[in-house]
Amino acid sequence: MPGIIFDIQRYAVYDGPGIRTLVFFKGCPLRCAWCHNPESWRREPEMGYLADKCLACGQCVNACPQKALTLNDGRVVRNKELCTVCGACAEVCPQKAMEKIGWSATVDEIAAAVAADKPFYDNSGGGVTLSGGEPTGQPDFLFGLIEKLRAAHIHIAMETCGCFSAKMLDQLSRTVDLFLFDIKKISTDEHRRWTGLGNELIRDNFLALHRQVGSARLLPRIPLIPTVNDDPAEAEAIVALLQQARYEGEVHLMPYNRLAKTKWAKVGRGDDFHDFGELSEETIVRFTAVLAAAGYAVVCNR
Amino acid sequence: MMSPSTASADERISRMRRRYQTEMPRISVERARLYTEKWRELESSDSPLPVRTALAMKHVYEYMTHHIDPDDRLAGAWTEFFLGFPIDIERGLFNGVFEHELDKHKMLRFQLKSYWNFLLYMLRRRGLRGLWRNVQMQRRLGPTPVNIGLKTLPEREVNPFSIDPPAKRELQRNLLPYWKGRCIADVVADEITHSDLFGGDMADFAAAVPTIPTKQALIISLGASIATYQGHLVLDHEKPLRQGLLAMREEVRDLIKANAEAPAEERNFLRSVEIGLDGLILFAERLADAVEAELQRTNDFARREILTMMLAVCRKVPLHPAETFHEAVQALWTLRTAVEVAHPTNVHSYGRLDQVLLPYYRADLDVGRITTDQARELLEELLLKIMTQNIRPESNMLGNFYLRYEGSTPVTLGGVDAHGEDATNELTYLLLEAADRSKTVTSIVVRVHQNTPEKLYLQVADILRRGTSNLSMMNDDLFVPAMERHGYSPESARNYGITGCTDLLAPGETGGISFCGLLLSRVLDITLRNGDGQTLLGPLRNVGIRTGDPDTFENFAQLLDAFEHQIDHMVKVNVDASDLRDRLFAERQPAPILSAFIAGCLENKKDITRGGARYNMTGINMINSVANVVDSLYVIKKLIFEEKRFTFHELLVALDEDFHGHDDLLRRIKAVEGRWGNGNGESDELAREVIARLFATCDKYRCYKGGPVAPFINSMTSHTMDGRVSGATPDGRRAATPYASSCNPYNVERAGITGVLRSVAALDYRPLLGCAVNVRLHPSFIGENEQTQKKFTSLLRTYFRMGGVQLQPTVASAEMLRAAQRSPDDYRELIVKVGGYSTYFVDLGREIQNEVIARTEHGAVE
Repeated sequence: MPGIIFDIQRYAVYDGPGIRTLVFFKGCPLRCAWCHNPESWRREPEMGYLADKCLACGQCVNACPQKALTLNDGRVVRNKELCTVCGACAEVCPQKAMEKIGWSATVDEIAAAVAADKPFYDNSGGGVTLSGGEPTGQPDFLFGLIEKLRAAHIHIAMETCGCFSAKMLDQLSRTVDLFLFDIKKISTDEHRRWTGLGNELIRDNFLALHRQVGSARLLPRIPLIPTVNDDPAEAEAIVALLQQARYEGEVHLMPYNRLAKTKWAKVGRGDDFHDFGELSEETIVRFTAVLAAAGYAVVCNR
Repeated sequence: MMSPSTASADERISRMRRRYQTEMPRISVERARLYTEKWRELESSDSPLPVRTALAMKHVYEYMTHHIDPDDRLAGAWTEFFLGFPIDIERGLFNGVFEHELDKHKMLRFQLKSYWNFLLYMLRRRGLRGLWRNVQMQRRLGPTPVNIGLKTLPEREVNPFSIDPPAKRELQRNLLPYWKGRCIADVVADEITHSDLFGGDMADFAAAVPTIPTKQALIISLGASIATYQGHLVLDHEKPLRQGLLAMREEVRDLIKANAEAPAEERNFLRSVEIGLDGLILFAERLADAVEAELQRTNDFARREILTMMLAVCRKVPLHPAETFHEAVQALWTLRTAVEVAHPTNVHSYGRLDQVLLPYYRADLDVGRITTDQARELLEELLLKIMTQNIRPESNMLGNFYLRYEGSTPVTLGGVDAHGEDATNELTYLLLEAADRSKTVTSIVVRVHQNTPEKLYLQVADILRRGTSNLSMMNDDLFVPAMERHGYSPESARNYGITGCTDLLAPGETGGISFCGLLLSRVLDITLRNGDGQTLLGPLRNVGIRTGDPDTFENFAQLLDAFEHQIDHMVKVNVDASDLRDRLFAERQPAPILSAFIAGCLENKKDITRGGARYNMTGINMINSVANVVDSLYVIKKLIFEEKRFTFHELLVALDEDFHGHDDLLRRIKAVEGRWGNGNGESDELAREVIARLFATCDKYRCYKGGPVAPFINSMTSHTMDGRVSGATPDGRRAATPYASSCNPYNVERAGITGVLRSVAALDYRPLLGCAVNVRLHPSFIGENEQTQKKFTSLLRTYFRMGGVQLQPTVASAEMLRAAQRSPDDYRELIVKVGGYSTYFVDLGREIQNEVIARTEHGAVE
């Protein structure tokens, strides 16, 4: 069962212990307005295009075997009906304005790519971090890959938005060494407003997962977004959830930045990009103080 | 005792650095004048050559002017200027620059002559049509770099030097004419030209292409070149510090007495060393006199106090044994300055300073004679001053490929001691701190091994993160056995130091390494053409040996064999040329002063140029480049032998036309995945085999002075320069673009830093005695907190455990480097690694700057 992967990044040092390799799964159930990987949303491979880089030289138009591309007013327009995402346009583009995002890969291919760096994991206490998109969105591929990696004695971390079927809980808790679990917004209505879905399932999964794996293998991470969840009241709500779970351990903050803007443009969502503004140092300190007062050690991944 | 406060010390050090960075170095003719004066005076005498050489140099020491600067705590400069360059006119590496590049009209004449020669050559060899086609092609490839232009030495943008009008007149009227054809650089060039080392059309070609006025290197073949300096080394610094020069001279005098009946050659040698030491002693005494004169002139109380202390130190060392840390550092500096006046640009490094200076530092600390801050301040000054004796008045022809300070006289730190135990000590850390604070470009080589303390790794990581990229690391666990493999005793092997850029030797025991260059991509090209060569000026016949038409090869193994034969031929040409050069140095340019500080010479009663040293060797530097050759072979294996997409003939046509009109072929080449540097097992294995064969070839030869011919991989800036005048290569590299530098991969796709390091570590480096691996890292890669820094040190440890030999990261983002191009004044202190050495980024020519920016940047995943 092949999976759809859109990137493999090596020497990741901010996504779990030690030196890690990040494997990005394509496809995500959420549509967070501040998303840093909007190219991960769709499950299928797609073509990215950055008009800013494009010279309108027309080489891609000529290279397209489906004749799906036309030049219009200095930009390339893609007929999505005709395009088969073969990537021929990206290959000829002298500016790298075109990019094929996502490819179909077998478990063996990805496992081998990850295992190549095993000496680096072993020396540093690292391993693989499955990320996305949402890894649980491709369960067959995910568990196939996990099985291979476990057989190779590679530490497995998984970043998750928490939005997955409760049926998966048992298998996940048996096979994944560390969960990096995103907590975004406690009010379900607000959650729906900013991510497209309510958070009942996510909260239930967090509580259930913690019951099964305990605090040592579960790490809550909060993307801190200006005006969305950066106020002390939200911090208190999050503390309540953590206390309900009887969680004891570190909490990681991931402060917002605007670097994803070009990525939004690349996948044709440039107009939907929302700038949440600056996150002040003061806000972070205030937010951190609430968590710290409740006894949680806070690590800020700047 | 030294400076009243750290703040004023910092101010003094940064003022010195700023002056070294912004003031224009001045050409001094004093040394050339004095040397020539004495040399000519002795022309009709019957002084034996070594004695005459030593007397001429002693005359320099007796009359040269000393400069004492208001900012000096360490006394001694190698010219009469704050920042100057002395000319060793008898060696004459730069005589051509002074001859041609001090006047516009001479530069114009040089150019016209070059063009005329070139025109005649092209018309004769290629006819009018060939000439026309060449002009068209050159236009397409951009402005030709092989041109000295019209900017005189003081006018040029990169690496300018000034010269006073009377000095210039003296140089041009009296000094240069005398040495033309006499200086060793001219002699070596003449002898090479008249030897039968040139193969086929090479001699004719070499005579027609414009020669570079500097004679630092000579082209022997399209695939081979030799350096013309005598040989990089590290002097024995411990002995003069421990015994003093007076005692060393006594030792030589005793030897002379004991050898009264020895053959004349041996007696003359011993006598030349005695005179050499006389000269150094004179230098030291006159330096102390200069400090005293400065003291008498000075009224300022604080400055008088400092000068009084400097005077006491200079009166004592290096004539007598050093006892304090200050004395040891000054003794080292006085001695080294004097030696550098005799041998500028021969590249003598400082060796293991944290070991050499340790006894003096500990003795001072024990009795409370010095504070850490005071010791560090002295080291900062020393590290800055070392850099100022590392400049070269290069030809404008290298203009954009050059820079001011090379940082190629590295200081070696850390590593193991004589018993194989960790030798890291408090001075290791202090020297690192001094290197960081002074922002010197003097390279710092940190030797690492299995038991290197984490603290040392973390300090390296922290300094790198803050953008002081003058650090590199070398792996003892591989390099110590490599030294032993080449005949060094275990103790000498464990005591290795670095000279030149990244070259290993035993300090005080190795008698100077001179280098040959093996131009790998060109040798492969000659193999593909069955012994003929191709240049941007057209084909040359018979520049290599006939190894078969590759289109008749049945399998890839046959091609590898042919390549190995061609390499063997080029190595032989290189070794022959290098032996010729070494013989000429032995016969015409003895080095008594150096011989005094290299073990073996006195025992053997033989000059180092004659192989008197305990250890000797010659280096074959494999350049331009491992990556391009491995990738080319990999592409050929895949597309010609496995997929049979095209023939060698078709490939060569495409290369000759720089892939113009061969888009399909180029696309296929580019589509070959998994080239070296991506952690792909197949290309890694190929790289391993190619390298093993290259190294095995060197093993077959011995050098003139009686030692091994050892392999090195370090391209300095030649990958840019040579790339600029090279045609396209089968890995898809276009004509006139840089090769991969040193041991760097070229076609890095998405495998990241770990893939690069895995590929680099996959090579079998066992016989290698020097290597540079550059990676450019984004600062976030190392990170600000200890947690991420520890991940970085773990990355380094794993790389070295996997078999990596060397790593020299440049830590700067592409944005930072571009900003430095736009506003150089704001980025004066930004240090980067080029080839094997470190330098200020803003001092680099534009082309090298661009090359550094283009180097794949590895950023931490956010």
